[in-house]
Formats: sequence, structure tokens, C-alpha cells
Amino acid sequence: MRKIIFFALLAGLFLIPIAGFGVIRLNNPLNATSFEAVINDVINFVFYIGMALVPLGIVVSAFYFFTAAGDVQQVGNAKKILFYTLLGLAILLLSKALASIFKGILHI
Amino acid sequence: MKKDKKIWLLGLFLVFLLFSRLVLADGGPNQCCVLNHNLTEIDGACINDNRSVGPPNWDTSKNWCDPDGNGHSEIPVHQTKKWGLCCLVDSIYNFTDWLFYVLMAGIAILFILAGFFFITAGGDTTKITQSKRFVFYGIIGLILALMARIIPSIIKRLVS
Repeated sequence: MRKIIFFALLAGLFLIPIAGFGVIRLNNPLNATSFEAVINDVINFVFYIGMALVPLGIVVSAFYFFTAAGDVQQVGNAKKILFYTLLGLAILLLSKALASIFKGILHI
Repeated sequence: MKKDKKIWLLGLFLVFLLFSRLVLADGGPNQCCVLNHNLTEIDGACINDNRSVGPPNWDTSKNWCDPDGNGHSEIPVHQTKKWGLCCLVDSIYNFTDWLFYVLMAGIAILFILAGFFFITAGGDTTKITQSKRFVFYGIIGLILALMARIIPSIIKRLVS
């Protein structure tokens, strides 16, 4: 019984615009008009922030290097920070290229 | 324990930065900023010419922009929808610059210390190797810090 009432209400809700209020228009809040453009915008956003974070990571690793002052474990830490920062940079650069590579392969 | 201390110091510094920003903004949060770095690859309007960058369709009654902190809101000169991204990226670059200057000062002090250790070693082999390490890792840090400054321009060339 409850279900029937619920569905009736739901149907009524959908019928309201048809019955009396005319057509409802939804405005696109985004600049992008296609899904691909949305993805591209998101990639660009992450890319620019990543580009700003790479120098920060390298400077932090440099900081660790010279505060280590010969401590082997600390130097290891610094090396790790540097390595993963550069790895991140490589992946970030690839992410830009990968989209166009896949497009070329699939002839889109 | 040593690591904890470093993280605490960094956190304190960030809070200090944020707090100074909040104190300045008395008409609401700033919806613009003045860029210190040229970010024209993000948007053509993100230029570092000491003038404010903000959102388009500016409404003086709702929006607040006070880049010089004198309590008067003004209309941003460069208007773009990507002002938020530009300001965020610019502040990260600012932080990196700040860290870079601290690093340079630190390296100068480190080299002086290393020289001092060399002098006071007095033929003691372990002490000499220690001070050699000081200099070695100091130089590595210096090279890395310089690299961090070069990398953004290299990437700009690569991508565009």
C-alpha cells in the first residue's frame, strides 16, 4: 500500500510540469559541452597543480638532504622523496601524452 | 620524534601564513589575488603585472577583493573564470620560493659549519669524513634546489 502511494506521488511529481507549469529548462553550469571536454578540464586542473607541487617536492628533498648531514637513514629518506617526486612528474607528463596516443591508436 | 618535530614546525608555519591572510581580510574572503608568477599557460589573463586577477561578472555588493589589505574592495583588473586555479598554483609557487630562500641561507650556514669542523678536526679521520659528508650533501641539496627552479620552465617548453 505504501509503495503504491509512493509511486503515485512520484508519478504525480513528474506529471506536474506537463500538467500546468510548462517546460522546465536546465542550464548547463559548466563551460564544457561534451563529456570529453569535462575530462580534459579535470586533467588540466590536476596537471597545473601537480606542476606547482613538483618543485616544492624537490626543494623539500633538498632540505632533507642537507639537514641529514651524513646520517645514512635520513639521506635514504631524502632520496626516496626525490625519487617519488620525479616519478610523479613522469606520470604527470605521460597523462597529457597518453590521451593523444590513445586517440591516435583508436582513430577517434 | 625528530620527524614529528619537523611536521609540527611546518604545520605551525602554514597556520601562521593562513592567519595573517585571515586578519587582512575584514570584508570577507578575498575573491582575487595578485600573482607573483607568470601563469599565462593556464589562462591568458593570469599575468604577474602587480594587478589583481579575479572572476568575471564582478558584483561590488556581493564580492570582495582587497589585494593590498587597505580595507577597500576594488574590481579586479584581469578577469577570468580560472582565477581560483591561478591563485592556488601561484601560492604553491610562493611557498616553494620561500622554502628555496631558507634553503639558500641554510646552505651558507652549513658550509661555514663544515669549514669549522674541518679546522677543529685536527687530523682526526672520522671527523674529517664527517665534515666531507656535510659538504657533499650540502652541494647535492644546492643542485636540487637550483633544479627545482629550472623545472617549471622546462616543462612549459615541453608541453606547449
